[in-house]
Amino acid sequence: MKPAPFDYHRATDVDDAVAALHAVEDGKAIAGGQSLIALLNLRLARPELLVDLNPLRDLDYIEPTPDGGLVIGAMTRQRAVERSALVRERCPIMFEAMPLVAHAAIRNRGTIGGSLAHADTGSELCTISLAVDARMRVRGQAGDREIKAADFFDGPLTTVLTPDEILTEIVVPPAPARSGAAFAEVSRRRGDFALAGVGGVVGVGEDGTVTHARLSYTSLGPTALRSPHAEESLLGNRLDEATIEKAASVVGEDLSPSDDLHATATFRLHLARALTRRVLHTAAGRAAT
Amino acid sequence: MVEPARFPITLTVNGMPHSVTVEPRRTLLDCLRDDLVYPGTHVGCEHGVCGCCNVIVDGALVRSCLMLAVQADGADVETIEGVGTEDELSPIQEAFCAKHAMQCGYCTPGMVMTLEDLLRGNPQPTEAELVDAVSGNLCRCTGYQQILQAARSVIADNAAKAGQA
Amino acid sequence: MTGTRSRYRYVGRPMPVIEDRRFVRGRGRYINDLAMPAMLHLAVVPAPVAHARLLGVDAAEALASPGVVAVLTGADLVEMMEPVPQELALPEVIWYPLAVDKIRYAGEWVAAVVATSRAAAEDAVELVVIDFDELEPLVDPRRAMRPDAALLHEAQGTNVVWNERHTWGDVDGEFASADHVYEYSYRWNRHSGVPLETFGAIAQVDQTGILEIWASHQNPDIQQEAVRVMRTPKVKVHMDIDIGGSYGSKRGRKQMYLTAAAAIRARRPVKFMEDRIENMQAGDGHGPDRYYTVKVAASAEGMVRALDIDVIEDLGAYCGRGPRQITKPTSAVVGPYRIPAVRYGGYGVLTCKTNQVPFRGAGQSPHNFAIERTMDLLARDLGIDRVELRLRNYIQPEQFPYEIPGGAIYDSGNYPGAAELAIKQARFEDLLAEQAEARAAGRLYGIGTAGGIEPGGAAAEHGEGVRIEVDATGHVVATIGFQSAGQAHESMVTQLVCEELGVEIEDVIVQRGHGLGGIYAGAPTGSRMTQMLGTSIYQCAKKVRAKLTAIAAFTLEVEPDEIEIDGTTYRVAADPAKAMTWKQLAKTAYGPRLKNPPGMEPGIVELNVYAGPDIVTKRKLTTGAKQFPTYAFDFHVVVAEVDPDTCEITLRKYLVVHDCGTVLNPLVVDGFVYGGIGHGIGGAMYENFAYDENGQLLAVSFMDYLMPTAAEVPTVELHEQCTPTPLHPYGAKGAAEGAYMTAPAAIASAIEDAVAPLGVRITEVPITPQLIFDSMMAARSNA
Repeated sequence: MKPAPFDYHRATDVDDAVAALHAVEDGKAIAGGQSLIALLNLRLARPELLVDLNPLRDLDYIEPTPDGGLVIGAMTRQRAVERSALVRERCPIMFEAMPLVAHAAIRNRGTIGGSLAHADTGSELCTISLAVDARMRVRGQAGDREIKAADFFDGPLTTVLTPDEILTEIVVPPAPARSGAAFAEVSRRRGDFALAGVGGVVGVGEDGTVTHARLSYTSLGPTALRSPHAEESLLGNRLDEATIEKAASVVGEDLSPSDDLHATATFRLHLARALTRRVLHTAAGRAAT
Repeated sequence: MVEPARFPITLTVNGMPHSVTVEPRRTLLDCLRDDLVYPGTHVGCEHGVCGCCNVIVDGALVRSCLMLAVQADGADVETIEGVGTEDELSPIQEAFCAKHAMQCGYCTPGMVMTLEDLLRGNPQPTEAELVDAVSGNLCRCTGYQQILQAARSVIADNAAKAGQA
Repeated sequence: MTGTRSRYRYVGRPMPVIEDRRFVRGRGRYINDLAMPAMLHLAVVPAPVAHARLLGVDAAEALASPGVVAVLTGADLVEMMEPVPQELALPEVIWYPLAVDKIRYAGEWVAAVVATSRAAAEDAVELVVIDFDELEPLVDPRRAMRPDAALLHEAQGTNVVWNERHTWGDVDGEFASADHVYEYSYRWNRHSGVPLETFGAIAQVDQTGILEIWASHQNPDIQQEAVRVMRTPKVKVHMDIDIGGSYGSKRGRKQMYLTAAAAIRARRPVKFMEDRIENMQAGDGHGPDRYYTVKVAASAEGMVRALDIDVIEDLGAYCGRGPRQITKPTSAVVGPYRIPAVRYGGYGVLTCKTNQVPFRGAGQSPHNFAIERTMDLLARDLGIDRVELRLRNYIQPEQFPYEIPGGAIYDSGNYPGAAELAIKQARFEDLLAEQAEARAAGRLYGIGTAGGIEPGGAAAEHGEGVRIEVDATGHVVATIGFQSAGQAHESMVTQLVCEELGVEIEDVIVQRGHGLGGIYAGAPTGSRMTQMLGTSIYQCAKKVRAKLTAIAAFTLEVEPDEIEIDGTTYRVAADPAKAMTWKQLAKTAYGPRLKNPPGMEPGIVELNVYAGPDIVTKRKLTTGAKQFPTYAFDFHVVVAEVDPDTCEITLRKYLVVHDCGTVLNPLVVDGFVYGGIGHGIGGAMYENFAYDENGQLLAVSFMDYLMPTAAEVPTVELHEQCTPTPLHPYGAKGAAEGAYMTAPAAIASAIEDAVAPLGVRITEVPITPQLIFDSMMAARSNA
């Protein structure tokens, strides 16, 4: 189980990385490599060139923004996110989910940007980026652009990034007023990809009705995705049992899980509904305080 | 097919400097074992699940099968060969022997590295933190019971020492 | 603890394990740590489909790939070696390490590339072109055994290679007269030991023309087999490396012969270290894969009168040693129960899967699962308490030795004692109260129990040898003839040598022989080494003591029977001042002949081979039945909780009472029990070598083959009962398999009890959230 041969370029800065990727037919940026190197070893990925982003230490930061949100450099290790007081304060749902990402030895090396760009449907971080309306800042040969999380994921292990574009920063906007968030998943073992996972953010108005709702899903489709039907069903209603049950009952409209060795699509949908209820209860409780 | 360029790298393993030239595709695991001859780091799955190949790179526990040797250029690597000596085992190693926290010994180096890493950062982890750390390494012999017993005994010693200080 | 322990200086003590000191520093020496000068590396070409006629293998491009030295195909092996021997005499099931005329499972090795590095070999593997004509994949044995199914080995004429049915006792009469008859079906899916070290082998031809093989194998009898298979007496299989786990899995005969052939062909040393995919797809390492139908006849009081057990075993593509796993359960076919009549039989079927290996208990774990599930379901159907039903049916302590149907004799045991101790230690009444409370709150909370018999000592086929030497300075060298996979044999040998010869631990060296080293050995299978090697050491030490006694008597000018042994001092009983120390005796033995008894061989070198107890070596059994020397027992209490929303299963409590007679070293035996439970949890809840309908293995990596981590295994509370066996010098029984044999049954019992209020029964492993979900849905739609 050894990788097929590839060339290697150690990037000196983001522009250098972009240029190196642009120069070849089949280049691939490597961040933490915790998914990519496994795929290389299995010969399921076989780029001609790896462009190593690890030297780009200036992409390793977690900083507050004046509006109450935060920005995270793409090369920030997951372990740093997990331990960040700022993340805990300003994006508690991400803080809650980080320990569920594989194991410490993986998180020590894995990066937030790598996880998002890899776009595995089983990735907690992808789900959370949707739940918090994160924005991806990227740079490519054609220049810089910003992509909403909702527009970022394109299919199985695919994003809208062009082959020479690099994710440089994740923008996490401030949490909506009077909102609460929660993440929950079911996995076979500690650290495994989830059979199903749900991230939820709900905002509640002065009158107790839902003013903001995001529900996003792990392992329930080709890539991380939201449930607009469920979100819509929450808006304008009080977060009571009936509302939560209604939301859970419509998530299937938006999800398209598949069967695999560990769970059937039917069971995954069942879990999506169960976890939607659980997450909404928790988020509602947090929104109220 | 054109042979990809090979890369000269320099790294420190257990305090010893090494220079070696590697293909980009060589993992740190294979480099440590076969180029630099530190065979205590074991090959289990080569896809990042089992933890047999855990080493400490620049102070952080990593899977050496999920890191390329070229990426370790300039790094400070610590392997099982750097933990304890023949005459003086580390407290974790000593406790592993006292509790028989292994059978075949194959997962043991990775397991020891994981616990060394855990206890250096946090000498008195909670039970939940301990189990979480050990859950990143597979063991097929012990059912984890004696591994956790060994770790708990070291943690208890650490607590006693902290209490005296 | 028990009185038996205090008699000994070493036996029964938690002696630190000698091997641990090297393992903990990464100083174990495993096959992958060995390298020979100019060594080449081998990688294999896997078959892409499950069943096909193999039309051709084109290796031209691979041979031109950088670093490639040779490419071997099945056709080459037919020239170079005999087929790999198998368990049953099946002349038309011909098995070579590489496919010859047909591909019989997905991943089967079709060609082998030998190159200067493993990476170069893998590069060339991608260039080998296989030409084939696809056939119907045989995935389900129930389909493969039908007369209209495609044939895997056409010349054999059938896919069914084992078909026996044995009736012991008046089975039909018991069923005809029974108050109650029930029939239950069970499914035991494939899982196995899956050691963290894959199988590896190195072969080379040495300067004298001897074919040398090093491998992570656990079977020293490979030496004799290799002589036949490789068509040369000049074979030397080494037995002196550490094996990174086996649990029965590390046979690797195909791998060793392939590596040997490659070394002969390449004229250089060759290493073949399976990678994880090669290992899981085609390493011949899977465990039992069974469909059970069990009929039970019972009286109104719940006394089981007869069992009728039918097994369909999916053996995989070749016979290998798999059938051993169907027949071993006959050595304990009724488990711990006084069941007077049994019918046992079924079908061993060849399918498009990798071969089975006799894994931990060799088929006894699924058998015990079937028996213990049957006891639980019978209890439910009769409305009798599960524990009470077992206690009524247990063989009673005063009934030993106890002959079961078929003729196997259980040496000793106290099953009600172990069960009652477990119930007491688990505070069963409190658990029931907790359960009532939990159920009232809508939780699915279950308590499970199961017991299990562990046949130990596997003595029928191989004796076990040891050579003990005392050198001129008094150090003891004990040589054994096999290599270990974590069973702490060096520690056991040291411990028993110290016990029997009075020397200290630091005076003993334990080494491993090799295939030409003259130490006859059987594999460490069937929990046999405490029984077999332990007794051999005991006997061999007696020979050493006799020789030392003779030297002492000669020197001290008395008769040997006047010598008394006190530790390492040999003295005249009637005149204790007249004595020889250990060092004096050793020096004398290697000294001038005149100072030794006339005619005595110089030096102190004694060899002993133990054949096994008379119960195995001198009794002829009924056809189809097997006998093991000793029978251990354990009883498990498990608490499981199922999340009613997500179907997640959590083990809340695990308690076991284990009785393997005298425990030589509690550190080691406790480890076996804990480890067996770990395997049991894996098999019961997580691990599954599932194949899809095209015969593609779905779990080919550790991402999909789910072995439990520390977060899935609860803290195990272990209690001991000691019922020594009369068949061993220290009263010890085999111990390393029992916990795995019982755990899946106990876990299933707990999970079933949790979901019982929903009308769900558990008849299959692994018990996954998916299985719970499907069962709940089915129960709901039936209701």
